[in-house]
Amino acid sequence: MQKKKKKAVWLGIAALMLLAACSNGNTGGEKSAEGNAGETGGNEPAKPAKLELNWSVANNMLANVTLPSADQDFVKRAIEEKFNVDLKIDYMVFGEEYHAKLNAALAGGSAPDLFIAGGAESQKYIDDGIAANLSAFFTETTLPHYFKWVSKQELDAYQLKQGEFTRAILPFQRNTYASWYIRQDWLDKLQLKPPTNYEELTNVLTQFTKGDPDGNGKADTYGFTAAGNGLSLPFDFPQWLNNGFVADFMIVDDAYVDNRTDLKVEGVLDQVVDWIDKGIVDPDWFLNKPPAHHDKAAQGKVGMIFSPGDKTVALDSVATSVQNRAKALDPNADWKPIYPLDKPIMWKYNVPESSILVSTAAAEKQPEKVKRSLEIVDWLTSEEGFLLTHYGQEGKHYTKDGNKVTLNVEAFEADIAKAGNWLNVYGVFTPDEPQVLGMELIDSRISEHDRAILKTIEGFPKHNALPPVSLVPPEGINIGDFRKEMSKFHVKAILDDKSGKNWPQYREELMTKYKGRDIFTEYTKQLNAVLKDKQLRAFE
Amino acid sequence: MAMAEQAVSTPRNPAASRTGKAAGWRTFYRNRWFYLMMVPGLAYYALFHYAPMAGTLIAFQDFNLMKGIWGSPWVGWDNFRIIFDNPEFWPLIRNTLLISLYKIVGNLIPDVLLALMLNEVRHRWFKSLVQTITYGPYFLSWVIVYGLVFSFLSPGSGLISTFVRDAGWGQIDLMTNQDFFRPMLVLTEIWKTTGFGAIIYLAALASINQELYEAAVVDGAGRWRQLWHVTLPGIRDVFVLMLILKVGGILDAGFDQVFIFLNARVYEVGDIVDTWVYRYGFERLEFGVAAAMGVFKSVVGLIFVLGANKLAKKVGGNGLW
Repeated sequence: MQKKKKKAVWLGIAALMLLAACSNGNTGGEKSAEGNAGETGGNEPAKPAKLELNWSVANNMLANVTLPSADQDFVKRAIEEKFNVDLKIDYMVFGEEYHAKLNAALAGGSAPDLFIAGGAESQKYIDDGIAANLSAFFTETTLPHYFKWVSKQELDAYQLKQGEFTRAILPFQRNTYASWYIRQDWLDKLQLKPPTNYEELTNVLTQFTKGDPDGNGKADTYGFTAAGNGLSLPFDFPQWLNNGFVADFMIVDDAYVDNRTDLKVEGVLDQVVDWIDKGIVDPDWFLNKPPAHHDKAAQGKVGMIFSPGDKTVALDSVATSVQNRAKALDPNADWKPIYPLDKPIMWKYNVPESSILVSTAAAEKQPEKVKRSLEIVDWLTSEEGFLLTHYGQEGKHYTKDGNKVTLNVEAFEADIAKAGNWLNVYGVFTPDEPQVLGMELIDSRISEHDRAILKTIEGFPKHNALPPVSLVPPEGINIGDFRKEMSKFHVKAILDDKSGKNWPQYREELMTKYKGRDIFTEYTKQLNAVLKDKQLRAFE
Repeated sequence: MAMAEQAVSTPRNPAASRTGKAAGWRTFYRNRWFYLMMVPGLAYYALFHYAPMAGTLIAFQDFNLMKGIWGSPWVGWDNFRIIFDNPEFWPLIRNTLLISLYKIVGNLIPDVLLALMLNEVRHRWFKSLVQTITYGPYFLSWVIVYGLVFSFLSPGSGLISTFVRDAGWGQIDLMTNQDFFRPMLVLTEIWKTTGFGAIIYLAALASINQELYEAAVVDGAGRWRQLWHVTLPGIRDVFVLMLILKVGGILDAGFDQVFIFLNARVYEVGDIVDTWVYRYGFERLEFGVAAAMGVFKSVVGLIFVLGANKLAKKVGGNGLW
């Protein structure tokens, strides 16, 4: 009896120690490599040893996305078989939380082998030496397919230090789908014409607020809403554009203009205050966390919203679009894209914003992991990988005839769209643009109505804001801190001062105390290095 | 029982030190199961509370993730200098202390009051019902609580804001109001944690010797007299204990809550040490500075705990130790 008890005690202690040991670093990669070499070594000498890869990916399409179980996940299976790896992929919707999670992983010593990070964040990772130098790994010979999406010149311009390859551009969609959307049925009901300039727009939105467009007898609608996230004055407000500011940066009269801190922002602030005074703007605009503003649009509470890139807002074919959700509540609801101003340019073409990085730890200790990871990236950007990660399995989810890809809607909806839209996880490496690879997609879900909408949005006038260059603030200055102060001043002017009159003084404080002038002088210098023939004036 | 045993079997006779030692082992052996039960607890503290303390070293380093603790350069007190020279430092400390203080004061009394009221309830079922309902919010995350507050107070669509507007009393915007921000934190905290806090006092109330009440009744004490002379003294020690524990965390003003409730208009009154540490550590990867702030916080917390303990003893209580 005594002996038994003693044994139990030792067992308990041993279990505890085992538990403690488990929390030690992960050495699984090597272990499985050994195990597998034995198995495959005999008959398939060509196959490289099995590797364990950890990736961390993010983009804007990953909200509410879940990967299926391993047996359903044909992409994972394809990658693991083709490249002889165990791929563990972490995914999350792109944003601050993603980076916080990534930072926590980095701080915990478990850096993913390959990861995606935002432009500003990747600068920090590179400065801290977390991201490896890829010059030896990332070339036109090693990743031939990747270079169909991004040019060598763009990649070179994207580097922080010329001649040092530390971050690759995540292939991105060139055109943008920025658009305002308006309730066409409200316009019809109130017998209004679609607005074509700021005065008409103000008038229409005032009618949306006061004219009871939903006909319920209550003054419970607003003309316009946005999502300030409790932080900032977003670009959703057409006042930016109405004062000549297209998106965030531009070059005007041979000078770099930082739109949100320009002297003329005073006019933007005044006009926003005017709308708020008129009662046009939903008072929740500042506290709304995205996508709360689109939810309100779907609930029939507002008549106009903006979206910087989501092309599905007004589409019939997407079950969760604002249009379909609004229709479920009000069968007459009809959201239409609109460009309500008379300015020549509405938005900018996309610029590279996300980077593919490789951890220094992997590059130094197991360069094989870097090589294999990049081989997989190249495959994902090839025709085979693109088709598999966007449209599923050939013959089952789509058929291909020449360059025409026809989606088998039923199977695609059942296995992918309704199963958590999980292909998006692997699809982050290429935008949904088959034309880049010379293919055309035939998707029977896209109706005439939707095609017309997409054509309208694609056709809005855009420009290339800046030449391809990555703007890096001077050493020791954090651009995030600067933007935070800037947003505080915008909000203060609108909600506290209720006027833009103090803006020149706020701006001066931003330029001096918060080092704005240093930052933008540096940006101008970096732009001039690229614009060889036509130099910009000094920043004022 | 275990204590009684121990007292008996540790004879303080220097002459019999050998037998004493043997007796010590015997005691240990006799109580081995109790010691074994302690092991998981000790292991937990060793692994998750004491081992990570070595990490405070990075407060004195220009910590770089790639180089780690061994490779990062030492910078002495530089990180602390960055903190104290920061113009945001004093506002941060002021906000943190004020929010914490409001919460400590605002929370202790409702906890005790709810426990006292529940203690007076005669019907068992009613008592359990109220307890369950008040305990419920404790399990909600702050994200949900924020959602609830937003749906009541958001300036456009909030229930209360709409009521005020429809009644013709004008537009209210409480969530971005600097005067209302701290009270809002305290009120939501009270709503969320009072049910939980009351449980501790209920346990203390249950342990009061019933004979004291009987004796008080014999002496002619009414309900209020009993409350004043028996009940309150009976829970005084627990009250002081809770106070000391809370004072120790005085620089913890509740990260989860403040982080979610914060917006750009209330930074001046609502930005606290922990939200700053989060921004510095996790958004800017300046772990050294963030860790230095953590060390500073711990030192202040320790001073407060020791001080509060001493004070508690001085005014006649038992203190923590």
